[in-house]
Amino acid sequence: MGDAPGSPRLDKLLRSRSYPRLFQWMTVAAFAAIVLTALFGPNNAGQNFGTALTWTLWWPLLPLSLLLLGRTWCAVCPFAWLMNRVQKAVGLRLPAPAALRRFGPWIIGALFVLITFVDETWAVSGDPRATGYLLLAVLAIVVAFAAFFDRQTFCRDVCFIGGFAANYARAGMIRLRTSPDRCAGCAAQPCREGTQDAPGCPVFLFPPDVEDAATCHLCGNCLKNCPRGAITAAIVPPTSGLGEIRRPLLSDAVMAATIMGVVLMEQFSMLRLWKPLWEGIGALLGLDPYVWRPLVLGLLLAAFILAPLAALGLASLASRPLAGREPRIAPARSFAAFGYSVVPLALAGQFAHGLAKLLTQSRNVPYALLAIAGRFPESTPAPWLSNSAVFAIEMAVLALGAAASLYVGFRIGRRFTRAAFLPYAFVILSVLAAELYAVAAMLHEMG
Amino acid sequence: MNAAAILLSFLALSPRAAEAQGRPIAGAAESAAKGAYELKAQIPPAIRKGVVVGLILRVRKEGRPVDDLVCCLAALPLFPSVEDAMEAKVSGGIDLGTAPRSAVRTGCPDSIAGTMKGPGQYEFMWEPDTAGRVNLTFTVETSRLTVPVDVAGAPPNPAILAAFVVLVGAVVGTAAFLRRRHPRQA
Repeated sequence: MGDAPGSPRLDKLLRSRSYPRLFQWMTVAAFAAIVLTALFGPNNAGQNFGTALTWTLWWPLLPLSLLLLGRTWCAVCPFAWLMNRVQKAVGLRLPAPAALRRFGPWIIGALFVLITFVDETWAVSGDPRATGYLLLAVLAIVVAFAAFFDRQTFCRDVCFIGGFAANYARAGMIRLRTSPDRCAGCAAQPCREGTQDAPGCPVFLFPPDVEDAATCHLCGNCLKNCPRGAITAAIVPPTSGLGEIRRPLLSDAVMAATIMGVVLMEQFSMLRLWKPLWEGIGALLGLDPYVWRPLVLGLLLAAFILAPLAALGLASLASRPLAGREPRIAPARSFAAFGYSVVPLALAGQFAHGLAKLLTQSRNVPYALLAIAGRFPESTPAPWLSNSAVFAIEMAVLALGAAASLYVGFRIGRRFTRAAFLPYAFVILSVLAAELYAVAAMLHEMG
Repeated sequence: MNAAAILLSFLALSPRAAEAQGRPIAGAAESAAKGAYELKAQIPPAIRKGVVVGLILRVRKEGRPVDDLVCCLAALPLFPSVEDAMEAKVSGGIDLGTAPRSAVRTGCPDSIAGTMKGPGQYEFMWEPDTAGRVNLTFTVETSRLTVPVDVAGAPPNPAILAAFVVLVGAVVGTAAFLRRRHPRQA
């Protein structure tokens, strides 16, 4: 799990008996409030505490938290608490089906696209009731998985956040490290199986075998359980983990490109050109775009997702001759390896897109909380920042993301040949240009 | 806005809408100070998203009803969501829905126009397409009256809530039954 120096304070926190329990209680309380207000509160996304908290605070901050804290969110997620309770009460603890294990990353990716499609087509994030129904649906699935399958199978193989969470956590600043000397000869594996001090790893990891921070939830169970003190937490430079992947997976690269496509679509869907675009596609197909809205938007979503995938595919073909006298790598391997280089830009794109809501609309959250009690401000609260300031920050974040992507790509290229990265660098800069255009157009349209 | 300013704005909150709905609004003194006309609005007690309502504005000057004016109504959520802000706009104002009789007019570039209903009475047909607290602003030349109203949204679908309860109950019940039948497996 890496050889970065350990962080004693982080170790202390992760070993604490209050962690993650204390934070889980807080997120459980917040989740209950979100569901209740989404279902029974004002039917206006800006004035509903549930939607305001979910879509203007939690969702925009999630990518940043994954970068700064790894998958700590997964440890304090209210569903983790719920799964433990359900399993203690009625859980059968069956092993996950083999197909779920085999296709888990693809299932996660497909569910992420499905949720995006549902949101884009039926505006779930803009409708408190729809948000409430979505949360109830996820809650029911979580309860079902907890009742039948062992530990947090849902989190590992199904949770739609898991796809980008894994990629962003790889770029994250917290990871666990193990001491091979101390682990040698340990047959009991209490880190994975659990002890009286704490349950085993919720996602079935054996820390010495874990290559990166993608799947670890940083719940601290392994630290609490290891009698030899062989596991410690370390703070590492952001994106450093992406350049060290020894067994690159195609599913990770596909997920990173998919997120880029989804973010691009969400950015373009906020522009004036969006409505004529999908109306035009409907007319082109001979369909009424309002009646066939799901189909037309589905096709557009597919196009936006396929564009970066196709660009990366072409880059993998173009990079082959550029390898020169070096051993040439197969396109699929090149795609998987260099695919990690787009993760920082995907992260930056998703975070920058959420910044508009975070820096202008999240001011609604305290007012929406008071609105539950019928207390309203006299006038519309001023946004935290002006539109121009928000867009300037968005552009800076995107530029930083692209720079990090190029840096990661060059690091990956060291293992092959740096020239092989050039086509991927072109893709990264093209996606950056498209995202910057969308942000600039948005600013122009909002005046 | 810093934390102290937010705290101060909370202390100044006032739940006016409940008082304002269902009867003529005593906004005349405030509006008279801002313009030449005395404005009073009559708002139905219950306003629901997607349902057309008639809003009456009474306009007087020096105690007498005034006819043949261009009266305008703009509706803006008190703190709108991104989705509200992206709604189709009426020249800079947020269009929360207009009924056919209250179309946009030249005299009301940012809002909908009222029609004469009687001496000094103007009717606005309004179909809100959002819910929650909405500020209705009536404008007659330089006179202005703002009335906060609460627009009710649809309650949650009972069938969906019932389906959730039944589904979770069935899953938990099945798992509990199986665990009792096969305790070693658990």
